[in-house]
Amino acid sequence: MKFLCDGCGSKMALKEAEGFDDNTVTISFVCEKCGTGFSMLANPMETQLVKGLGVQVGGRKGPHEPMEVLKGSLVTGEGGHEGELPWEKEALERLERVPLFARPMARKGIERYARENGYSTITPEVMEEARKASGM
Amino acid sequence: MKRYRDVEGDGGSGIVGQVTEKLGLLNERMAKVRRKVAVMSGKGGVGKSTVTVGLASALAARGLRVGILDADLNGPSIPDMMGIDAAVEHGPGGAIPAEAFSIKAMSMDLFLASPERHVRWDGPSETSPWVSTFEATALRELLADTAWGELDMLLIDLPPGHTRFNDLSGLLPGLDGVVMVTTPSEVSNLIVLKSINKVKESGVPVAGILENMMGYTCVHCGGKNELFAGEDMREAFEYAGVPCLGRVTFDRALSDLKGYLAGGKCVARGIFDEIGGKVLDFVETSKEKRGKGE
Repeated sequence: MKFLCDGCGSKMALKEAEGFDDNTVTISFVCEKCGTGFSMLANPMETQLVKGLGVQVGGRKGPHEPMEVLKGSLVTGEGGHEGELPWEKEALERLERVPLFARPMARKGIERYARENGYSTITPEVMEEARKASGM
Repeated sequence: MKRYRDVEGDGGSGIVGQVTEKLGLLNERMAKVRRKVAVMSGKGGVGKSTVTVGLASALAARGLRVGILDADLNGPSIPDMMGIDAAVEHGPGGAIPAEAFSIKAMSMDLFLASPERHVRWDGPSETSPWVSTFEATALRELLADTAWGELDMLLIDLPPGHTRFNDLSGLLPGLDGVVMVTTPSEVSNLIVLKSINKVKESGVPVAGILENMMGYTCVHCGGKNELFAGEDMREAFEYAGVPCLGRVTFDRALSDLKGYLAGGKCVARGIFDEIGGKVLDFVETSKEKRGKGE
């Protein structure tokens, strides 16, 4: 996208760009011939489109970083474990009945329920309570 | 009034230059990958990822250096199928691919904190049109910013539909071919025929079609049964200019791919080896033809 100065017909030059932190960006242009300036304020949707291209407004400031967009814009979820609670043997056996692929999700849900309800160990009873609480 | 092409240069951000630089890095990375083949199907649930892993395993068993790019950004399954439970690590040359059973793999799953975590982009709304821009860029980064090293074959496991294929063929003009996967049902075959036409229109060669879940053998009586009531499509596919690469029968052993990769007994192993050989032959012939400008 280029901008033209209506006053003198010259191409406007990009002066500065700031923002992105609040999902908007402000880009200022100035006519180098007559000094006329204006700023373009991009809404979150427009800003996201530019971010999604993995390019930098105002030109690249540093060298290419591998996986820039993936590192910067992917919401990766909780980092690491928040301290696993001890599980009784019977509870672990019951957890084994959950399909393997869904087990981490089930474990997390049960531990979350236990923490919220003041349990310090996972027992089959806690699992049953958690199951009922989820409406299953 | 002046028009866009009347004014020289760009808006000041050098966007075209930045995009060109990134494509240059992609080309540099892919130059070390001898063959690049996509596994796709317009239809979901036909076993594309299983086929991808089966082919990768067959090619690795031939001594080839093989990588898999899990291009199903929203439903990645390759790491779980291969028993990979690791977070991505970043080295100076890019992200380091995971490796299991002598097969390198890169997937969105490696970027997520836990296997059940879904892919979500930081932004105002997930239903927005910008999401597809992020996905296309993510595909480029997974291809270009992964330190694949030298590979003899990179298999790209595509999600159902054509969107990701469009992104891929735009990024990789040197894509060597597509293995199309179907199951013997009328609905699957119809959708796959659409996909074949789509791929052909793009100029990417179709290596052939792999018919998956072609009946099963009863574990009790040994009798052979059909899973679907579809007709034999081999002749029809040949009229469409696409040979049948092979037929993979349904085998429960394939539902435990980690066991399969570890060498477990499975009737599909020989079939995958045969299909892998055909794909290699196809790519070589295709490269020769391209070289001659045919």
